[in-house]
Amino acid sequence: MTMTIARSVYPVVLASFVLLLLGAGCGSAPAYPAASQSRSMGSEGYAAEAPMAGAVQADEDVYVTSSDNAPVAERETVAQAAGSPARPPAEPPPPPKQRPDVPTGAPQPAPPVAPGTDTAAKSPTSPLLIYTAQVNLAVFETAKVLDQVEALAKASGGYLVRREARRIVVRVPSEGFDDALAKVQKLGDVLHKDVTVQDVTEEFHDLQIRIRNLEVVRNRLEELLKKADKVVDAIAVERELERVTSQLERLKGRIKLLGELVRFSTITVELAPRSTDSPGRKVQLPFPWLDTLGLGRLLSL
Amino acid sequence: MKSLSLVLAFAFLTGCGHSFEAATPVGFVELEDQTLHDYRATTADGLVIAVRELDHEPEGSEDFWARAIENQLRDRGGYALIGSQEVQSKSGQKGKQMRFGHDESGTPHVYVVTLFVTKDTLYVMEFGGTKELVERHKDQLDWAIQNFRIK
Repeated sequence: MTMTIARSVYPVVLASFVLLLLGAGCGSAPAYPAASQSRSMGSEGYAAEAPMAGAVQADEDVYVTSSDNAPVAERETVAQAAGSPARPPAEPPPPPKQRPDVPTGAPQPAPPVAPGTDTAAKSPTSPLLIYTAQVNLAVFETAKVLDQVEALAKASGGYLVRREARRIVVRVPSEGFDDALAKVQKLGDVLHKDVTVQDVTEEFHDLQIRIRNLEVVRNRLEELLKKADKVVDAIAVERELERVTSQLERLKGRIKLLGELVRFSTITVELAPRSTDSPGRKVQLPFPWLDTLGLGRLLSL
Repeated sequence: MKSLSLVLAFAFLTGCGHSFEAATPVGFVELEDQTLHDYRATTADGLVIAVRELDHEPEGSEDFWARAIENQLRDRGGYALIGSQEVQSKSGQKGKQMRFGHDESGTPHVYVVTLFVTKDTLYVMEFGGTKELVERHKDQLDWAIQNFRIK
């Protein structure tokens, strides 16, 4: 009798658990305050603060929707089941541009170490910055300049990303970024230069936490799969497992890319004048004869 | 009245309509019927020298016009400013010379613009060709500048 009840109840319990997982969203981050959960990890958070998070974006939208639909109590249960503490109740969302606070008692996130990210490993508290430079050089001795940029990048321990007829993209170790950029500028007449710095510390930590949570959920699902008696239950768990694994791989790819971009700064050199549509261009003087200057008109016999 | 018309026609036919005299270096031939330029000459290899005479309107300093030319060529044309220097013709006319580099069809070219500014007129002398040709004929450019004369 007891066995019969147990057998009839087990699928219901299993299904409830799977539904619970689906409802809570596998990317739930127990380390976040309740109020900020959907914001900081949803589309609005990263879209505003980290433009490069586009690859993760679509996935997060799905996650946020399902997460919001799940009852708070259930989500907390899942979070606790995943081995993390429950979220503190009704904490205000952290202000923008601030690192997410890790609740007391929660396992501290590991130092921001992406595969192959030595920089991050050395100083876990230092900000993770992505340096990017765009340099427009005058169109003169193009091939020679492109060769020199490539050689310069390789000599500094960097590598070539892409090379086209008048454009080259290289990555150099971030600690040698300033030096490499100064050398690039000496290769020709600099028409325009843009240097941007992006702080991805917060995104990096977010990703780490989400990855850890997903790994816990994945392990739980694998255990459930082993225990599943019925095919229909196994299929439901497998489907969820596939979704979690896919999301996990995407997040791991993203964190690996961030690590690479932090470790190596990107320098793009274009041998072309800045686009005439660019804001901040110098005003064109109202003297038409200036437009007729140049080799094209002179050499056209 | 008739005699005046004849004088003007003669002046037009003999090219006396210009307020300058450009000396054609050895190895160059002067081209007729120019529209954009008031004087243009070329070598058989395609090295070209030309002069334009423009009304100095509105009036600006030599630095202003030199800067306008530099901005135009660098910002809009993507020319590299290789260098600039003061020049002077034998007649005492001082000017400003700017050397630009630019790739045309994948080949490095050099474009030299020399500017002479008077109260009423701007004289823009252009000299251009492949980098190799310009470097080889540099002396002829210097000669043309030294023998440039404003009437």
